[in-house]
Amino acid sequence: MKCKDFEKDLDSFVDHECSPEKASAMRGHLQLCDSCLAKAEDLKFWKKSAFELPEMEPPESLFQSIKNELKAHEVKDSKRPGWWYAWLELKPWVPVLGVTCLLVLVGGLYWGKAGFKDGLVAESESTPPVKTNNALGLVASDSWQNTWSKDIQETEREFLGAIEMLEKDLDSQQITWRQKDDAEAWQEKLLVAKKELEADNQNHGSLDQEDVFSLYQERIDGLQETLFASW
Amino acid sequence: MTTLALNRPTKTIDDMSLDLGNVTESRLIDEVCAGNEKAMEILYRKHKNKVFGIVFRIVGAQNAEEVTQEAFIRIFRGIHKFRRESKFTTWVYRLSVNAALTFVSKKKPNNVSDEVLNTVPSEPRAFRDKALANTLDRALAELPPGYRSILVLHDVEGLGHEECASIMGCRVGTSKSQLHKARKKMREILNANGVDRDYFKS
Repeated sequence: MKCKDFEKDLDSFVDHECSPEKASAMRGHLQLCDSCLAKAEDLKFWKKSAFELPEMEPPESLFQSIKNELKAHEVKDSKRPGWWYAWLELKPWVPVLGVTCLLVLVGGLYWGKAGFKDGLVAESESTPPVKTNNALGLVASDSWQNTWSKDIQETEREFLGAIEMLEKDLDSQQITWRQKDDAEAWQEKLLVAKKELEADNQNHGSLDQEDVFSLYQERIDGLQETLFASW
Repeated sequence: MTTLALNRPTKTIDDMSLDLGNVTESRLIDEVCAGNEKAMEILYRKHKNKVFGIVFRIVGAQNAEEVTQEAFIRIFRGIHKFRRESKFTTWVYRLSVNAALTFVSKKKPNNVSDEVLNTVPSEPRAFRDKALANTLDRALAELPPGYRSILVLHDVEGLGHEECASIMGCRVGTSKSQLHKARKKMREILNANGVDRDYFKS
């Protein structure tokens, strides 16, 4: 056996943990090697001395200190709001983010449900339309324009109602034949505009109500200009 | 029969004497979990010397009391988490070694003076040479904390490698190799201080 191998197994030899064959070989090496013998004896000396080191005893007052400290911890624990408090102390931005998200959610729900269009409809319904003498006056009025913000079927219905009123006005001779010609021309323009609006509504289905409403407004403004120019 | 046996009122720890032979450790742990101070005192008295000894030899005499207190606070505050998969003493030693190693990792190493060693608390076990004991403790203090821990657990407390590994949270092989290195270093320190196999001859 070489000294290197002996030193590798020295601990298990001193601790009586190696096999009988190995122990026998190591004892044989010890008879031949003074250096390894010294190492083994030093280790045995340490092991024996360490195991015989005096048992320590803490001061008698220590248990009372431990009890006091445990009670202090209990009081501290009872006052602590909970794990979430410590967590929030570490991440104070969390409540700010939470409140912001909540506001965005509530706002989104409100505007998504109420909608810009419906808001305007409600406003127009609360304000009675301005009464005019004839259908042309109704078409020209702002309150009539607001009715265009309703969905396309309702718009169409009101549109046709305005046309009928216009025809009655024409039949009752409230306007001159010259005006009648202009009015008929305008009626045609309106019908074309209605088709355009329907096409717009289909083509711009992804547009929100505000955009559609502004498109309606542009058409009506153009028609009004045409009407007043021809009158 | 079983129901009757279960419903039979059991004696509380307060009714019992402090004779540890009458109360199982498992029962004591249950009582401590239920907030019984008497059971806590019995458990403390049963383990205090071992815990104090381990802590003393890892952190040194000056801080031994403070760290022992910390260790016992960890033990009693965490006793309901003890899952009884290992021996209670193994769990107690693990918390004690952890408390001691945490302390030394935060604190700069202090040289252990003779004055401090001479003010060591009472020693129930007789030791034939107090000077040798002081020398060995001083040599221990010179070692890195990891080496100190394995020497204290294995050589001073006489624990096996399996228990040492469980306490230190490592494999048995690691425990063996750490012990080998620690003993080698200890032999160098003792030889340098003239404390070796010929100590008693001189």
